Formats: sequence, C-alpha cells, structure tokens
Amino acid sequence: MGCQFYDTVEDVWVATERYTADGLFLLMPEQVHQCPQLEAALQRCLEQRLYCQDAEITLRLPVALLAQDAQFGTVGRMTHLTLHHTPRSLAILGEEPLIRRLQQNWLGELRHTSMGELLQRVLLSIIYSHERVARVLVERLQVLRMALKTAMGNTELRQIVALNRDLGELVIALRETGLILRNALRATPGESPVYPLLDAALREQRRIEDGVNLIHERYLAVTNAYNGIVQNNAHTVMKVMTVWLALLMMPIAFIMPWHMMTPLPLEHWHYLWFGLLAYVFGVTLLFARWARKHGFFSM
Amino acid sequence: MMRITRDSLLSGNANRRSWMALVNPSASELTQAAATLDIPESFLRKRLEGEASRPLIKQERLISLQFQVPMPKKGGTGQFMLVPLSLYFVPGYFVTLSEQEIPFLSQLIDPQKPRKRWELVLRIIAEVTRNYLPTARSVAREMAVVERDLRQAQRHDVVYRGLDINDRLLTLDLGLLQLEYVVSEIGHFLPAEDAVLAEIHEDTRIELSQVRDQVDSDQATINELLESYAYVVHNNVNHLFKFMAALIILATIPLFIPGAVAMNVPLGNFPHWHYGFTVVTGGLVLVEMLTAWVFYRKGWLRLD
Repeated sequence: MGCQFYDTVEDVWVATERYTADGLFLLMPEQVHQCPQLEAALQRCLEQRLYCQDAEITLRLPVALLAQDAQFGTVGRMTHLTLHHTPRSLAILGEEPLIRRLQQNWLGELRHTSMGELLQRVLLSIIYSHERVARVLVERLQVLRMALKTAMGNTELRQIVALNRDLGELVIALRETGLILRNALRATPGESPVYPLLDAALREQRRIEDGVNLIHERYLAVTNAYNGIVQNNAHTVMKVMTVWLALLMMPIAFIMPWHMMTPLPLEHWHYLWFGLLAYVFGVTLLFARWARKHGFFSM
Repeated sequence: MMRITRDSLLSGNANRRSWMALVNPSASELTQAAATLDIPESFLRKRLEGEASRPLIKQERLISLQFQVPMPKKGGTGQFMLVPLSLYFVPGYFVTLSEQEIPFLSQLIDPQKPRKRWELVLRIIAEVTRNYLPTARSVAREMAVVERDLRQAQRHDVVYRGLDINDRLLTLDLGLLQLEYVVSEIGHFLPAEDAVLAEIHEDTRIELSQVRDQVDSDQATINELLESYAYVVHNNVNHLFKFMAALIILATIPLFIPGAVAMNVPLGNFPHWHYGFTVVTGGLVLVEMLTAWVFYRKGWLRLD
C-alpha cells in the first residue's frame, strides 16, 4: 500500500507519490522520507509525542490492536499513529493494517468533512481502539475462565495473566493518550477551531479510560479465585484417588485376621472362602455407597 | 415500530414538540424516521448497532444522548439486560430509540402535562437510575444463596456463580458510569437561570452517585470474598482428605497386628492355641477403637 490521497472532487482515494501539504493523506513510516515538509515535525514528535507550531499540531498516539501469539493466542498489541494536522491538511502515519482499518471504518463519506472533523474522527478511533481491544480481551478471558473448569495445568492461568497484563497496558496507553491530548489542548489557543475538538476528544478519553480501568481492576481482583479453581480441580482428582485407595485397603484390612496361623472360626466350613469374600466386599460396597452419597466420588 | 405523539413536550422557547418513539424499528421505518427528522439515517442506525460513539453529541441541529436502561429478564432473579436508549432533540421532535419498549417513557411523556425538554431528560435519567438500584440489589442478594451453598460445596461451581455475580455487577457499574458521564455533560446545557432544573440535576447526580457507590461496594465485597469462597471449597475437600487419611490409617492397622501372626516362621505354640484368634482379633479391635477415639477427639473423623 503506497501513499494515499483523498480526492474530494471524485470522492475516492487515489495513490500518490508525494505529500503536498493540502488535503487528507495516509502514509506508512517508510514513505516519510518522501515528504520533507513532514519529516522535521515527525522527528520532533517522535521524541516528545507532541509538537505544536503555529496552527500545526503533530501528535503521536498509542493505538491498540489485536494480534495472534503462538503461545498465548489472541493478545493486545500497541502501536502508534502519528497525526500531522494543519488547517488545510491532515497526514496520518501508521502501520499498514492500522491505516487500512482506519480507511475502511472511519474515513468514509468525506466529501463535506472539514480537516478539523477528520482530526476528531481519527482521535476518537484511536481512543475507541482501546475499548474495542478491551472488550475482545474480556471475551477471551471469559472463555479461558470456563476452560479452567477442567484445567489442572498452568496453560490457561498463564494466558489469563497475559490478558490481565494486556488490559493493564491498555489503561496505561489510554492515560498516555490523555496526557498528550491535555498538553495539546494547553498548547492550542482557545479561539482555535481545533480547541473544541481536542476538548471533546479529551473528555471521551477520560470516559473510556474510566471504563477500561474499571474492567481491568475488577478482572484483576478475581485472579486469585482462578488459582483456587485450578487447585480445586487437582484436589478433586486427589480426593477420588484417595477414596479408591481407601476402598482397596478395606478388603485387605477385613480379611487379614483370617491370615493368622491360629485356629480360625468357621475354618472347617466348606464355603468359608466364598463367605469371607462376600463379607469383605459387602462391607467395602457399603462404604462405597456411603462415600458416594457424601460426594467422595464426584468430579 | 414507529409512533408519533403530537405536542408531548416543550422546547427551550416553550414551543410544543412531538415525541417520536422508535422501538426496534425496521429498515424502512428508520429511513422514514430519518427523512421526517431531516437527519442522516446513519445517526439512528449506528446507535442501534451499538457502535462505539460519544454518549452525548451536540451538533447544529441535533443533540443526541445515549445510556443503558436495566431491564429484568423473565424467569431469573438477578438476571437483567442493559437496553441502550438513545434520545434525540431535533427541530420539532423529541425522539426515543431503543430495541425494546421502555415502559416508564409513556408515563413520563404526557401530552396533557408537557414538560420542558431538559426536565424531561433529567426525569428519564432519574427513573433509569432508580431502575439500577433494585437490579443491583437483586444481583447482590444472590451472594447470600452462594454463601449458603458454600457449606457443603466441594467443587468450584460456587466460585463460578460468584464470578458471574461479579460480571453482572461490573456491567451495571459500566452502565452507571456512562449515565454519570451523561448527567455531568448535561450540566453544561442547562439554562443557568432555571433553579428548578438545577435542583433536579443535582438530585439526579446525587442519586446516581449513591447507586454507583452501592454497586461499587457490593462489587468490592464480592471481589474480596471470591478468594475466600475458593478457600472454603478447598477446606471442604481437605476435610474429606483428612477423613479418608484417618480411615486409611485405621485400615492399615490390621495389616501388621494379624500380619505378625501370619508370618511363615516358627510361631511356637501360638498356631495351636485355641484362643489365639479371639485374643489377637480382640486386641486388634481394641487398638482400632482406641485409635478411632483419638482421631475422633482430634476431629479427624468428622466431616462437617
């Protein structure tokens, strides 16, 4: 995917060779060297995350994405989107999947949209990316939690720990976004048309941060209960194995007196062997029924 | 379903406005409503589809608010669903949009006694807040049922029920958080000179804050208790282990007492002694009873 320019006359995206500082542009990091106007601002922004000069604002904001990990399955991944906004242009710089998603979901019906409105749309898409990823992580967390019902190893627990950590990363990234937006708002004059847009974005960031933080805190607080569930699974298996051990011990214990080298009761009875077997297994069976009634065998 | 009730409320300059109620509207009803209201259809559709958006949007011709209304699910105590309710102010109309009929709306919007628009919004929010309270209480009450079952629980089902309660309280908390945000934002739109509206706004804010505090408190309690629930279940299982270990010890004693008289070595006169069996078995029973008594006194043979 090359540099993309939005043609407002034809209402289409067109591939372009260079950034002309007028209109809406989508770029990837490797294309920046083709845009000398942008390079200096982006270089400064890379260090400070925010660069303001006159009516130009350059922001480097964290964006949340979903990624597949061979060990942990679906996980959250952080990347950055850089926005360079002037009253007449907006350049959006980021990884290809991010740019593509932005183009598909957020940058449609643009013919009558001002650069300010576009900036707000992109800012909101960045803020909502954290909430969207948080929701997917929570769904995955709930699936893993159900898988814990029968788990005795650490696989699911380790995945849950990784998801909790990802949720924490989202909260941190949202806080970072808030900090950058607050600084951008301070650096923007109150009469600038961008000011109310940044203000609205900042308020929305606070709301989303509160929500994601709440989700993170609540799910983190119950992690110890998951440990309890896994331990309970192992205990249940041990419980059933122990009851079987007790059951095996019982016939041995009851038949032992008839091993003695002394005169035994009923030793001349022809059916003593059958009688003793019936006796020991009968007693064992009675115990097994009692144990079953009390849930000793329940898994 | 689309329903229009004429002259149902008053605008800021005391003009009468109609109420358009959109309940689970079909595609054609949405198109018709958007045309009547002269707003883009996507404004209505996106709210219905639950796309991420600001709960309060103010534009030149439109103010839009959205929050979640808790509605009880049939057949389950403490079970509920959050129904998104969107409100729109457009010239000439007040629009409510939801996937389900919200029963209290028709009681609050009365053409006989039309209210001012912000008063109506605040009354709706106050009613929604009041709906959160019993829902949160009924969810929290389930904790008592879980705790009752804990006494006998050997498996983690009770922990899962606790986790489910925790999830539902979190859903309520997130709904209340959104409502709190809307109420706080509405404060900027209220006419400064209207003391009655300011009072209703403050009351609603306080009521909302109280409900949130209660949900937070219930959730903090269950968060703390869930770990204890797991330990109680462990302890129940450990009681069984203890009981069974005691039983195995008792079952082991006959292995060495009669076993000592069962060895294939010269045993003197013992194999011919008439009372040998009775004496050894009697001794065995005595040792067993003594051991069992010690175990019982120590509580190792108790299951409760």
